[in-house]
Amino acid sequence: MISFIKKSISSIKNVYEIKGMQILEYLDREIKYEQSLKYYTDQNHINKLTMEYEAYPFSESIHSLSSMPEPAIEEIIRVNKCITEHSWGVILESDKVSDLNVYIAQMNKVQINARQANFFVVTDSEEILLKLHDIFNWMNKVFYIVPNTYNSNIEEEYRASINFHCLKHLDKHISTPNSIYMNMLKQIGGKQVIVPNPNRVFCFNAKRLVPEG
Amino acid sequence: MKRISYIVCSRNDNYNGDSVGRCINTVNHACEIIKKNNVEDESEVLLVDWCSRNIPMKDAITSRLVPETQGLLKIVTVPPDIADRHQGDSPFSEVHAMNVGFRQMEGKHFARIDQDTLIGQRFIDWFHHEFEVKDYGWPWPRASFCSRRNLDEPQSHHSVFRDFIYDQQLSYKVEICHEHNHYSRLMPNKQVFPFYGGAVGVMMVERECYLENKGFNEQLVYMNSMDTEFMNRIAAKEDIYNLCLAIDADFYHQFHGRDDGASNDTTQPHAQQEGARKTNSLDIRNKLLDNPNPDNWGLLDEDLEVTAL
Repeated sequence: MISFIKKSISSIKNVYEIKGMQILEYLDREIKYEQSLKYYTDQNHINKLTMEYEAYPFSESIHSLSSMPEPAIEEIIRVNKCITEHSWGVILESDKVSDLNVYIAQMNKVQINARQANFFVVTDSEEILLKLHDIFNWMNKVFYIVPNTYNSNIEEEYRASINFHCLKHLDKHISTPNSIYMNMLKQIGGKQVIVPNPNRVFCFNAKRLVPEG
Repeated sequence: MKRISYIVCSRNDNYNGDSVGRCINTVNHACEIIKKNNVEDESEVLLVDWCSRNIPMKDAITSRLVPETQGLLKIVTVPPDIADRHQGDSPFSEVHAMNVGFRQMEGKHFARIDQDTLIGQRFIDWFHHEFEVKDYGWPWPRASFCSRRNLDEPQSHHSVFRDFIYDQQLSYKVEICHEHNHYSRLMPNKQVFPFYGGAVGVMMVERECYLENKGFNEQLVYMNSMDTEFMNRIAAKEDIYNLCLAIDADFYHQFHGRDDGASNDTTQPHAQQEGARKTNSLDIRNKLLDNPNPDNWGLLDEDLEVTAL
């Protein structure tokens, strides 16, 4: 009996220690965030994708909305909640990305001109998604890449369709050359798809960065 | 005409510990990488010795220079009596020194690198095989800016730093300095860290562009922010090139301590460290200034000694 009580108390103590540590870590992050708004503060890097961000293979076969199960449709609705009129689609087929900085530069151009812009990234590469997620956020607190996964129980076969239906709701896109979804979006019509020129993209009209006199 | 003049400003002191040693590494490495790539006909390295109060750099470092510096390196000496007439109470007016470098250079492109910063192979490849060499049907911008990576203390050791420059896998392992600027990161208050706002790897300005803008503003005689101010003036009028992303920060800063830092400069990660060096007002980043330089900016009327090695 005594042994049981001791174990229980020890376990409660451990829980409080862990909770205490978590609270301290949270407060440290908050302090660092506050400091980052006043002083140059190094980025809080994202080294691992959280479950809201996942890379999915592309597919040429897209399910129509009416043929998709309810959870898949709910997923589209959830993703769309984070998409605004300023959101851009980013379609990156990994085998066509020879230099990710080309796309980062293009996304920079978007944000320089429209500071409310965020991005819905569709890619088959976890590495690319992680890098973009790490770069396009502020101190691991304010995120400019829209989450793409809320329900991880949805069958894989619907993921490509979910991504494409979400892209369909956006008017402006950045894409790797001749991507499957880019061609599909063009067929729909009324969509702007930019394929960055890998040489020209690093030329910046930086007038929007220049302070006023 | 040479295509590129690397401008390095320094002096014979021990700023933040053995600054002369770091400068020698920089100059030696610059000449080595130029010769290694067989581009010496297109390049020169100009060391501006600004205000060495004891032994001038040309006398202090010659014995420590590698043979590759022969025919490539020139040292411009600005003695204290001249420097002090221009720099007021600043201990080291970089803007004047850089403008002196411009006045004395032969190249088409002014390429400012810090006296403790090493040139990378990707930059050499880009400059000599891409920039203005390939015609893509649009004019290449006349001004470019590249951020840098910071070698840590072991990586900076003279026995290994070349590995981190030439080995492309190792190169990416060196941490990017001021990475908000490298990625032009958007802040929650909707301000953007401009790619030309961080610590310089190289700032490259074409000769005519430099002249039209009258160079660095010679009122900004203290540390920091003068590059951003200059780039702001150029960017207000024409496109500028984000060389940071194009070559992925292919310049390498050698490690040193910061016992004489700039504690009032909140744009710097080491702002909270000790130090009392005066810095230019942060306002100059946030306002577009007219450059008040007189016509003889860059010490044009001074008789300066130039030593070719």
